[in-house]
Amino acid sequence: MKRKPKDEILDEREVSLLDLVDNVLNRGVVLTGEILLGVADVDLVYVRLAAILCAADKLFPPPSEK
Amino acid sequence: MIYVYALVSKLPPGDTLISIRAGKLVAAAARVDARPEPAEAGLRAHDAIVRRLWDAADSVLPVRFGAVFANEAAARAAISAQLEPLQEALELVRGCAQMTLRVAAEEPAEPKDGGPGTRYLRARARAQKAPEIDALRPTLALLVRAERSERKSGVVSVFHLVPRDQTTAYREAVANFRAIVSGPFPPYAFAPEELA
Repeated sequence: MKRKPKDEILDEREVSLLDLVDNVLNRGVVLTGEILLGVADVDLVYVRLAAILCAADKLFPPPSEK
Repeated sequence: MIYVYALVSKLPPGDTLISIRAGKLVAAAARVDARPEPAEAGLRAHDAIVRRLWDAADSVLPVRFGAVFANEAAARAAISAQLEPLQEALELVRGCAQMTLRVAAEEPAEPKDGGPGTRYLRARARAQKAPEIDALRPTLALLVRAERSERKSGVVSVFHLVPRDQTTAYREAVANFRAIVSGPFPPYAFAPEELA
């Protein structure tokens, strides 16, 4: 059977982990991290990290199709 | 401490979980020493127990990870406080599985008319409707009993409540659509939020 492109990027186990987090924790497909660096209660740096966990080629059409 | 996994009509015969009754609902719970950590092992353990209940019963309303109560009375009080919506939710999911579709969000061109209030309400209405899957709706109409959706960072997750014996038909119906489909799952997305 021909593997679909999404399977090559994200295998079944990773998809199941994503769904596990999404279902059980309801944090969605986006895992967000926040880092706050501060000195003496003054916030200096605020870093927001967001990573989309999904098979990008399945969601977003490749450039040639546009 | 009491940890609640799911709400059911009754526990399967011989199940080792504690049952805490409130109205027509039974909370399937266990005694724990500490609040479980949200690490992969803990999430899988939670999900495994919810799935075990779901395999054995017609109607299971999963509770999200981390619903810990001081004792049985506190758990019963939390459920009783929203008994009506919980009982309705348990009826809604009866005999159904959750199927999840993920599609890329399409942001429409900013409309020029209307003030900020109108634009806000339009964006909100759009967030709840997931027009990205409109092309699928005629095909799915007979398979889907309820829908919820979430929009985060360019991805729309659409959760469909599908009769358990129709999940294969659902997968066939969406096979050629540009979306990631997963499931069947216990109907996590249809449980009211924040029991704890």
